[in-house]
Amino acid sequence: MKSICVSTLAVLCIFFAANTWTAEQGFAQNAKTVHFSREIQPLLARRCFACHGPDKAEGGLRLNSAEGLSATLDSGAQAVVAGNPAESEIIKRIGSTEEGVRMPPEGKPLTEAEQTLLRRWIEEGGKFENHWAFEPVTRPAVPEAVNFGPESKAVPSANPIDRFVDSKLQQVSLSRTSRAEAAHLLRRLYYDLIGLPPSPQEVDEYLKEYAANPNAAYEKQVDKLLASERYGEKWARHWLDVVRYAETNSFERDGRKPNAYRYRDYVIRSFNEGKPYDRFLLEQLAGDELPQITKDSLVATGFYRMGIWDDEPADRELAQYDGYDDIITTVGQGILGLTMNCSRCHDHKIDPIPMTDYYGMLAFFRNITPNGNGPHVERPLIASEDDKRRYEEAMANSKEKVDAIQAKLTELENKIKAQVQTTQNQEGQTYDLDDLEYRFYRDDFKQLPNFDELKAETIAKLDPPLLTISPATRPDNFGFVFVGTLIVPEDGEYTFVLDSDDGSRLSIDGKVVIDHDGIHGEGRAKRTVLRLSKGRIPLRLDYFQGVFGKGLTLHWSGPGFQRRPLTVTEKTTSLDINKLVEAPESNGIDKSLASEFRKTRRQLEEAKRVKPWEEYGLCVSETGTNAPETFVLLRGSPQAKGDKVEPTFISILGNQQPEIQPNPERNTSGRRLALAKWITSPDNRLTSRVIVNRIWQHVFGRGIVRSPNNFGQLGEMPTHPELLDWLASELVAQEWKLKPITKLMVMSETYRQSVVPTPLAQQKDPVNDWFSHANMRRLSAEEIRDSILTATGKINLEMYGPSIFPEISREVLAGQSVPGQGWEKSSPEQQARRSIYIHIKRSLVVPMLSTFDFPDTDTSCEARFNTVQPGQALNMLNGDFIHAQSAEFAQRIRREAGSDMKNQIRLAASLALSRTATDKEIEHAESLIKRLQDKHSLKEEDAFNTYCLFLFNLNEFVYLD
Amino acid sequence: MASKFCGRTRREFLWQTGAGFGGVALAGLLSQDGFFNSIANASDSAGNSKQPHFAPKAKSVIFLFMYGGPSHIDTFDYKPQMKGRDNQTVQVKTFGRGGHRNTGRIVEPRWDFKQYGECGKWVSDLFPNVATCVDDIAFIHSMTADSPIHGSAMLMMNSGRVQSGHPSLGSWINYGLGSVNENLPGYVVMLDPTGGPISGAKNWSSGYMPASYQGTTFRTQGAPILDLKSRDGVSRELQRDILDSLKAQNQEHLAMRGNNSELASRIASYELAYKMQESAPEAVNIEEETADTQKLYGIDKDRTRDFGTKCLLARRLVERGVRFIQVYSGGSHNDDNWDAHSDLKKNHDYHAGNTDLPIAGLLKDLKQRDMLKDTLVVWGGEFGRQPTAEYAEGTGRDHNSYGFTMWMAGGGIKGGTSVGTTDELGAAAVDDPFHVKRLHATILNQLGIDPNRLSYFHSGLDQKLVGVEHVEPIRQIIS
Repeated sequence: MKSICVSTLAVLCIFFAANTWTAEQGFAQNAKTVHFSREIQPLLARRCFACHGPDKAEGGLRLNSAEGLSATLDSGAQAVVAGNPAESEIIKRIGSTEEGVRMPPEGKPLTEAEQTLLRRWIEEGGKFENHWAFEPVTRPAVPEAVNFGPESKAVPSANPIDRFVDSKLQQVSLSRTSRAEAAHLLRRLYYDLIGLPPSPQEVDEYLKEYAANPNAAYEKQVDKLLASERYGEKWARHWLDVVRYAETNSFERDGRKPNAYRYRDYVIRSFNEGKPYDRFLLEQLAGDELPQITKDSLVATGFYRMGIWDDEPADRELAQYDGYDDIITTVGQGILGLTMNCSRCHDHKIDPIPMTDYYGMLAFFRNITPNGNGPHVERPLIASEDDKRRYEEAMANSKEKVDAIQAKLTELENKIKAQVQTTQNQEGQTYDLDDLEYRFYRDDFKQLPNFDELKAETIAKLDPPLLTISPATRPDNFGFVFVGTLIVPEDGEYTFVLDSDDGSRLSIDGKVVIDHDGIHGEGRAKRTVLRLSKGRIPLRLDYFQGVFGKGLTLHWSGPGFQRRPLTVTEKTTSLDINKLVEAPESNGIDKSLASEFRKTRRQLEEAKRVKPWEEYGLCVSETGTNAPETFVLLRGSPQAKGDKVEPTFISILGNQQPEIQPNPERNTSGRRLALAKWITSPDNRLTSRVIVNRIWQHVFGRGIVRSPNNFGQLGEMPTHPELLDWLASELVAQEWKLKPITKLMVMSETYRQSVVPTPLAQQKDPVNDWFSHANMRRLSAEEIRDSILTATGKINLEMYGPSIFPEISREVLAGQSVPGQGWEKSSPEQQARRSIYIHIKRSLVVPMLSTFDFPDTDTSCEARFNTVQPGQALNMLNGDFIHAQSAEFAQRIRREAGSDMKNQIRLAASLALSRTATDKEIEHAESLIKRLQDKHSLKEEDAFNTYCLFLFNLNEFVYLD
Repeated sequence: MASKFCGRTRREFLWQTGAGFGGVALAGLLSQDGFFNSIANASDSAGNSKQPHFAPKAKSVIFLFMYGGPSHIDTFDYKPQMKGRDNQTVQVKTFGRGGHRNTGRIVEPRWDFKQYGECGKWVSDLFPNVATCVDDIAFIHSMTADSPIHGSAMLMMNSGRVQSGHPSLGSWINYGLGSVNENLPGYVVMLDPTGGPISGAKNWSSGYMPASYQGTTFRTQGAPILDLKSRDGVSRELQRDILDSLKAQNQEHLAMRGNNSELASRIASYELAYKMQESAPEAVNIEEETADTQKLYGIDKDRTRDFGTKCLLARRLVERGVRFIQVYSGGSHNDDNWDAHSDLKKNHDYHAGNTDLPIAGLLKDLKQRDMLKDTLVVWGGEFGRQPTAEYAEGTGRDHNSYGFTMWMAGGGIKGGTSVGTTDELGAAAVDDPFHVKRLHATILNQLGIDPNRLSYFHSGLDQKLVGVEHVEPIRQIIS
């Protein structure tokens, strides 16, 4: 049980005797023999490995392997003599009081208890064992059913889970407690499976069926809830915690990632569809490399894009490796339960994970394009030939539409120019470029960078549409990207001549046609000849200036014209039509013409803004079949490259070699698919264990392994290792389907127990290591909010789509550098949707969620904190949301229960607590409402609103029996 | 030395409570020599103040955060050699938002410097009032940071990392020391009226620690804390009545559930909330202060009223046991903070003018109340500014994390000292460069916390504010 209390505000913590238990005590109850991997190995690692471990073997002693333990040392002695502590050098040395002999030489000597532990371990054979999680998953035999005897209230059970749990209970002389009350269990089941309470009608019906046939009635509910779409909405959130899901990138601008919500929807859908877990992982890790891609499998790869990224890092190369680290950390901890991230700068000090494993893993991700904005992260969702055809059609249509509007605009422009010329006698000019925009960057470039990954300082239109570097805000160290449309007058051959100081690169229609990169002066122009068709085609020019001289010229010639400049020349005159039409009369332009021009210009902007394809996803991408080389980075520094590494699986988990097939069709290296196949292989030692542990965690309140992201040697030992392995093997046997395993868990008697421990259990096992009763749990932040909305009847169960924005008070928004930025307004109906649809902005988490322990968004969250603190009370007593909802709730009650106070109270209690109020409670409630009116002079309506608020504040409302 | 390993063992302690707050106090047990009270002591419920590693010099910290990056060479880092060199082009390596450069045009400091105090410290005319306190101040002229970009540099100054997701200094301090006043937050942040700094709440985030450790933003007007104030029409008596009814029903509920400790603590948390409703408004009620005191902080003047009020509140919060108070000068973007990219003179005259008197008032008030000895005041921004111009025209300076000045006063800091130097232009630290980590280590050290032992287990590692490598406090400025 995790009952720890903290005050948000005062950082007060209240500890209770129940929490003063130590793991030693807990395990001592059933473990007589010393456990190597949890008692000895960590001790050796902490006090001895610095000189006698993976890195060093001083005196010829290495304590991190079986051979090392029993090897003959340089001195001729033997560190560990099995069964004989007195002869073991290690025992002699740790017990010595002689300076220079005593080990460890630095720090305090080992404690008496530690020395005894080592002696006992050697007495018992001094065996070295591999850490349990690195051994293959076994299929332990299911123990015999346990009969706890006539004294016990436990219901006998054939469920394999119960047999494992019961046999442990029997070993420690405990027994299961009685079943939970039917109504309590129903409420618990609803929240655990769908995150919402049962309605009063559902409770009534269930209780009737339960009276007739308890087991059948219960199983019917289980099946119903697992089939409900609400199930995916509840369970998706568990996964989103693990994969650091958020919709913005953090840092200065904390900008929105496009289409992140589609990943959230994908996860919901996957849970609802009962998607096998191996498929679920394959899609997220390599959905774009699968033989059959689907829209879902593309969206799934948004997994890679959920992390934080700095769009303006001080060290760009390091930032790229921070991005890889984010992925490795999430895959390592989230999927494999390994803190691989510890091996980024040095070999893992405790787990056998060398740096080469870390960088071998990194190599699988090496070809992924970095995070950023642009087409490499946001791609159209095209999964079939039909999609492809429709996509191309849509693109063509869109282009046609834009072209048509543009043509009209040009025509209008010409008319306007004619009028202006007549009146002002100015020379008009037509341009070969159109819709030209520049992005300006400042940095010291030595060659052209990938500007798309950098943050532009300025983005602006160029008018007239001619390329120019004059907007630069300083004389040196800057860069430009120009993007516009080239108007090709007719089909034919065209010559482009590009000169620059320093580097530049011209792309036409998405292809590089002249590459003039590098530091150089002007005078060595580069040219190219292209066949182009009449029409409007995209043009892009990248340019950078180092120091000293600078310049940029681009000309083209073609059928019927010679050497026309696309860059600004001295002769260029500017006629800013956009400005002229603002005051048509004084510029001699017809008013109607001016207004038509403005209208058409708006139409053009709108037509360009509308994306031609209906669905885009936030997806992974690679830029070719050949990945760049990967090196071990010494101390994690990109400047200190060590040995080159190839993609390799984690060495401690077996010796399989990746089979990598580059995928030219998908433009990928094929590496991620190879990794995904290894991870989802039935033989993988961690994948199945880690996920069944997570399901267990969310059903029973804590994992069998209490550190769900860390199955390594610093993690917790499983309380029920055989059960964990049995469940893992069962999951694979069930073709990785999560619903059947979940059903097995909630059908167990272990799950169906009461939350009230027996006095014996409370005394012997205060943290409920052995599941002798159910763990009481508080509702999650989302569940609290969703339950309130359910009680008021306002909840809007619309599924999927862009995120919603609950109102955030001004005082909270004031903490932003631009108050309100990035936070939209949703309609009241939209705000009443389930909490999983709330927009997750990293620097602005909705206060109510954050107050109730919504996880930090920047790293994988294995288990949410469970704090109790006064900020929560203030939120539930005085917050805007709770007050508005209490009033809504009261209104509903008045509407549905009529004017009789007792009926009102009865209905309110049953809606909020999913049970019938007792007569005594009704009496108390009545007297409270009356007192509020008589003593505190509240109006009747306000008094009842306050009673509704009172209900939401009850412990019973936020805790599950 | 304590273990060099980045991981420790006996993780059970941390995990048995679901990686929850248990990890906090229990972390002490992981340390072989018992950092915190033993858990048995912690179990006597509300005893929440924890024992430091060694006798502390300071009880509280007031961090005056000059957001945007004040120019060191125009304030406290006197560069007489720059006199008369305005507009000269020099070879100098700089790195700011405009990237790396090797040459630049000197912008001569725009203010005159004078000597002050017994220590004879040179201070510019931007801070004539703070200048009168130099004998209580230790200047660190050779600060360095990892990033010259606001977003990551702010995170660095506040949490020791350029990446988000890590706990901020105030969170670490409260994690390490607990609170002595349960009715007030242990970590208070007061923002500029123009808005928060870049990245907003990330700057006072508790990262991977429970949200309980994050900074609480305090407002100087209205109810200081979010949701603190009861709704209109809800009197104190009414609130009490509701709480009593809640308590009665919750206690009945509890009795039937084996006296579950979590349910009991939730009942207690409502009482704490009730007390907080009383304590927090009292703490911010500056009407209790004399006119002279208010004047000392510049509250009687328009220019200095806002920052002066916050400085005075900071003192009142320190008196009430708040551990860490951060006051922002500057918010939002551009010239709303110290980010003088275009007109240095205008920008710095404005921000210094708003803060000089209040800061001096705070130092003097703390001293006259004998509070300075155990209150550590820290002044500075996320970086300094370059000696050269950012643009072809004008006096604007770009960011500079290669060398800048911060200062500390009180809390066992040796007044009248200056440590470290930058080069003759102030472009980079030369002698005794001090990374931000050293500053953090010094702050923790003054609070009685060993910066190399204060750790929190997360993501497979014993995370520390100062990182895995050993970091020394800046001994030269410790008295």
